[in-house]
Amino acid sequence: MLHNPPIRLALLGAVLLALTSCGSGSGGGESGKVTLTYRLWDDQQKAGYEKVMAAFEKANPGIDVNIELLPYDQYWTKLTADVVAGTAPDVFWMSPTQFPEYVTKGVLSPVQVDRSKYHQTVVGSFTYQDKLYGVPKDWGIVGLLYNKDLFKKAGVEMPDKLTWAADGTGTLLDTARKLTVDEAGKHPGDAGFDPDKVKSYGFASWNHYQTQWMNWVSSNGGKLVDKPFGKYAFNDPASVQALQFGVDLVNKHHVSPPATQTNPPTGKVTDMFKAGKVAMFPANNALLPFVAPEATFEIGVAPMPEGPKGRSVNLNGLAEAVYAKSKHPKEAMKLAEYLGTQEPQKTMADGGYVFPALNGLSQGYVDFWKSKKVDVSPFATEAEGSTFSLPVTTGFTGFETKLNQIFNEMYLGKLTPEAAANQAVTEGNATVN
Amino acid sequence: MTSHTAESGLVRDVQAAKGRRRRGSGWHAYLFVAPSLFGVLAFLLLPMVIVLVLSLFDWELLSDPKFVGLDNYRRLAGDGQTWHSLGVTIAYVLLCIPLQTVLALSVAMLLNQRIKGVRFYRSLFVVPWMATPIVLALIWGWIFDPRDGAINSALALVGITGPDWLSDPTWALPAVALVSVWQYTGYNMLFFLAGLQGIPKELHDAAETDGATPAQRFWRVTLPLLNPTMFFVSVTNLIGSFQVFDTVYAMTDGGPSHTTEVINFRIFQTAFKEFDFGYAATLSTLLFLIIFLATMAQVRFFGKRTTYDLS
Amino acid sequence: MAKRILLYAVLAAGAFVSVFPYLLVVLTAVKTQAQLSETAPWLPGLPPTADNLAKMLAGDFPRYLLNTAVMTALLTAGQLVFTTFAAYAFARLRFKGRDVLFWLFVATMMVPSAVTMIPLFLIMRELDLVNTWYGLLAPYVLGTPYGIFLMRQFFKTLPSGLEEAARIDGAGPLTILLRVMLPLCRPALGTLAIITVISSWNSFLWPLIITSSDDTKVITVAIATLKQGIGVDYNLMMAGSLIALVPMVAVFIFFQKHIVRSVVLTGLK
Repeated sequence: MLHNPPIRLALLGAVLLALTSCGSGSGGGESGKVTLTYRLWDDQQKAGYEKVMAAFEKANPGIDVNIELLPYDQYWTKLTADVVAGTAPDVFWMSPTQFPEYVTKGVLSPVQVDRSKYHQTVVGSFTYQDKLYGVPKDWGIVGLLYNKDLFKKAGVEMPDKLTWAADGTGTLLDTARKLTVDEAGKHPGDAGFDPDKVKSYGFASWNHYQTQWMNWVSSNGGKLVDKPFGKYAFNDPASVQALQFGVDLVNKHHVSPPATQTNPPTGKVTDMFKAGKVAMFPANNALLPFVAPEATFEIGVAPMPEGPKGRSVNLNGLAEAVYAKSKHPKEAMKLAEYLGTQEPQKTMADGGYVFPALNGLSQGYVDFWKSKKVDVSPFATEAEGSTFSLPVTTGFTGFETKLNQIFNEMYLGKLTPEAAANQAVTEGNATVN
Repeated sequence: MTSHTAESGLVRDVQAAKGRRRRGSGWHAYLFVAPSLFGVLAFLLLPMVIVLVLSLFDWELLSDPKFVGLDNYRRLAGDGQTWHSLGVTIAYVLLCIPLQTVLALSVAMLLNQRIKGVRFYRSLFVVPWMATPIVLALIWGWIFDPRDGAINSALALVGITGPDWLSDPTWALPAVALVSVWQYTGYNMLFFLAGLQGIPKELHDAAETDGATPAQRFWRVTLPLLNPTMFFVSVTNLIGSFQVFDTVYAMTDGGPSHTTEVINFRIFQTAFKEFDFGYAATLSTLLFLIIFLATMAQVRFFGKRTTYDLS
Repeated sequence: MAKRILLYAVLAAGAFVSVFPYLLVVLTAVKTQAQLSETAPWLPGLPPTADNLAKMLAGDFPRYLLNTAVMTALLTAGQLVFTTFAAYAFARLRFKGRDVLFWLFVATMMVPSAVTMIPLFLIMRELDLVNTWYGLLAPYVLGTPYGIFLMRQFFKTLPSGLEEAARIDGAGPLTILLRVMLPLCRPALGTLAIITVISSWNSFLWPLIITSSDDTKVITVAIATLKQGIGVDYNLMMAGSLIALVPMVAVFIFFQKHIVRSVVLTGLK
């Protein structure tokens, strides 16, 4: 391979020449066709968006859309690098927790759409100084997935309404107890029940803010942040009580797997549910494609339990953000606005990808999953009730890792909920700009 | 530099070489180094210098940098978390490097013999390094799970209750180090294998004729002759271990209770999660200095051990 | 005899520990989702299924395999050539600033790449190379400090009498390198080739940062997209990884032949 070095060196010369002189040709300043870049992170939704973009291109012959799919774990790192270099995509997905960083630095363009037509929690997640920065795209909501086979085996009926209270009363704990069985067939509370040898758990309570403790806090009257772009506040008595409840399900009532098995980043709660080791599992509806196909049991969906202050569940929306420094601002805005209209949102709903942010289209999603034998209507019902957004405040991205670490200790029983909440709120507020 | 000058330079080189006796004239050497030098300067050194410069700025990445002089360095002095991370990193390095090096050399010696299926064995030992890292990160959760995981299930068979591994402040760092040892033992074996095969068999034969025991042959013949390889393995492993990130990110996220929060993890968090790039650059500069000093210490150590000069 | 048995026992145990985690990848790659839930990760799902592998190969994955192969071939070719030249100069030639330059090379390995990545990305933007093959290859095709360090160390182990003899015969540095030194370097070149091929094949962060379109997408990035924030498709990811590993094992076995004892040494004594 090295027998002809002059040729190799000549090759190098060519490479160098090319390096210094060549242009990438992707500037796209030519008249005529404009190529927009649209970036997302969901492999499955990409298929839906290919259809959507084809329709857009057909309606706008002057615009081509190039879809870029990035891995979720590196999506934000790459986007940051692109914003620094000015090479960010024209339209891209934005999440509520990342939104504050980008909007406060002027990375996003405000959009003009009729806000009343979209789910208000999603609109709220992407509103900054009374302006909407990003066209509401979809929402995912937390509901209770349950293993109907385990219920049948235990001879337990899913109650009409699950309830919880900090003192341990309510139908949730009661049902969870009946569904938790150790190897000797005993339930928590029975004499001789061995919490170290549980065969299957009634419930999954674990350190996951979106589907777990934030919901307990909110339905107990606690507050995550005092206001959008404000300070963290989840160390008030109501919040601490709610956190205590979540931890008690694991360490006191033993109806939920131990934190050593569930703590992030390696926690495997989803796998345990899929393996039939957990009967009730709070999850975002977006998890369904990972759980429902080829499930070895019948999956039911129930609304999240009601707390002392009623039911309040996390509703996590995404938005189609428009890059403020896009080279084609008009076309980019046109695309983003199009994505907020009936046709594309219906395509995504009917394909079973997401609940669309545009009101009145949920049925398409429900129908899709009905054909897969999962009744997802409780998710849709929940979304009409009280919902809350993840904390929308600067610094959350940096705080998240610390928060998870502190609460890992709490779920392990090494920190009291009060100490954990105080520590987390203090550290969190230090990151708020 | 263009293809023209490069090529004609080579032609001249071949012609000129004919009549010359002087050892290693300079311009040949520069020509040999030139392409790589260009690459290193433009794509490695320049970014490094930029990072150094950025350590004097307050830069939130998404907005414009502001010059703050030595503020970031002053902040460093009172940043207990960083000094803690450095301690964790050093513990990690000390856990990994000796084990990894000794294992790699041992396996290389075992596989440098005439045995049936030696190639097969070599391949097996290198698989951990060949596999897509991101997938392996998922696998370790299955292996370290305290109840259903492979390790504790195996331990349970012999009646031992294994630790909680990744949730246990005592075991989390060793577990992460273990993964790294697993991943790189076979890889380092490759270098030792190549080094061992460069040792002329005559030297061993001669030592054997002189009545040297296998142990003496190892310490007096094999190890000294492996010195350049050992130097390479030690230096690159040290540099790599000081910068460990992926395994920590995938397995523990720095927890439990910050016990696996190595410095490079903190640098990544600071830069891309906290959007504090100036300070991340400062931390990188600090890490650079530490690695540099540690490497220089290795250079001195190996310099002393070299009993002959091969160059 | 007992010693032999012990040797094989040790090797077998070591090999088992080495391969065990990957065994889980292989087993998962040929399980259905249901089998994955029902069996322990280290037990096979029966009957095994080829569906995951087929599904991966039916999509865009082969295209990304091709991209990765092209990238790997170009990087390996470039690195073998340029690394060898530079390493030889650093190890065997004398020139002003040699050691400073060499340690400068090594020093560039000491700053975390996650941080230098941002300035490097900006440099690439200035050169207008974002989202291009050139940008993907440029930082590595001219040789890496790591490879140069490796080869330098090997060149240093060769006896110095070799060059003297050739020089007396009137050979210049280029001739000496190509005709005398390289044949002796086969074990090292084999090692360098293996390392370059496999690390290029598995490279992830730089391809991810510098390119984002499907035209340049590599397999590691494609596999990573199967992991969402919310869930993971284990079966497909493991299938992708298995498909990615097979060519690497082949490459390894091929180049291993070159990591054999060089017998030429005796002939030159």
